[in-house]
Amino acid sequence: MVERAEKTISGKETDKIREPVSGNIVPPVDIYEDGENVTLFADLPGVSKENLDVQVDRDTLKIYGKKAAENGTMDKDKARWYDEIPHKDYYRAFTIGEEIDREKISASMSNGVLKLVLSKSERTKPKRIDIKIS
Amino acid sequence: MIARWFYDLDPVFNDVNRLTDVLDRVLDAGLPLANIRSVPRGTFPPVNVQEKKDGVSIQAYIPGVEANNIEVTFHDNALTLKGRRDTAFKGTSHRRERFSGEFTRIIGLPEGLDAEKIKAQYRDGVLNITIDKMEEQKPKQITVTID
Repeated sequence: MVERAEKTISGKETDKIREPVSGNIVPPVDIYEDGENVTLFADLPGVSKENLDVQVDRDTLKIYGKKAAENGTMDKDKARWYDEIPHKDYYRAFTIGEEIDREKISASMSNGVLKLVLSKSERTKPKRIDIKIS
Repeated sequence: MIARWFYDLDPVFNDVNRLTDVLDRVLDAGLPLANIRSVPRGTFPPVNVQEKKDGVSIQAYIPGVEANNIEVTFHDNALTLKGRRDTAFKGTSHRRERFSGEFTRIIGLPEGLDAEKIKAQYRDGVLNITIDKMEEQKPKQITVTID
């Protein structure tokens, strides 16, 4: 975000900022941390395992979810009595630090909820040092 | 007027002006124009309802709940969705944005729907319900014969 904002201030291409925010649904997330892992849960209803895309680009964690075509029950062109879920895909990104082991990220989907387990690398875990008294 | 003239000429204020302009756009983007039929973020579960030729189609987004823990009832032309979702997890929490707890959502529907003909299906966190119209409410094609 910072990088993009800097570019636009100097480069005058201000319209580009709107795209990533308004073009997608920003899914709500829960993030928990313990000594071993950082665990992220995201609500992605309508996204099957095949339509999920989780990427790590240097220090950015990106979550894309493509909704199945409304599960076939809603006509796209017809008016709705209740219209609370926009027909858009999901996108959300986070920055992650050096302590996250990029090789050990596991993702699972269950009933439209994504669970991402980000392991902390061994060297950043707290270590107990025994003090020897001679 | 004077202020405007001052901003336009001064290189520093001109930059500040541009910066506030960019910030306004970023904040606007976070609050896109809302659809008149939408609900505030946080309403759980959000629904889509659409009339079909032979019935009504209801779609509720209820992720993270087992299908048999969702209670669906249809009475007096009102469809009730009830259930509970627990999102608690171990460790310290940094963000808790997802809905947690009990929910009830009542959706008012027009008369003429057949309470005996309801189908509900849950997949990937989406509950799809169809309720058929009563026979006399369904559109009928009448063939005109010439004597």
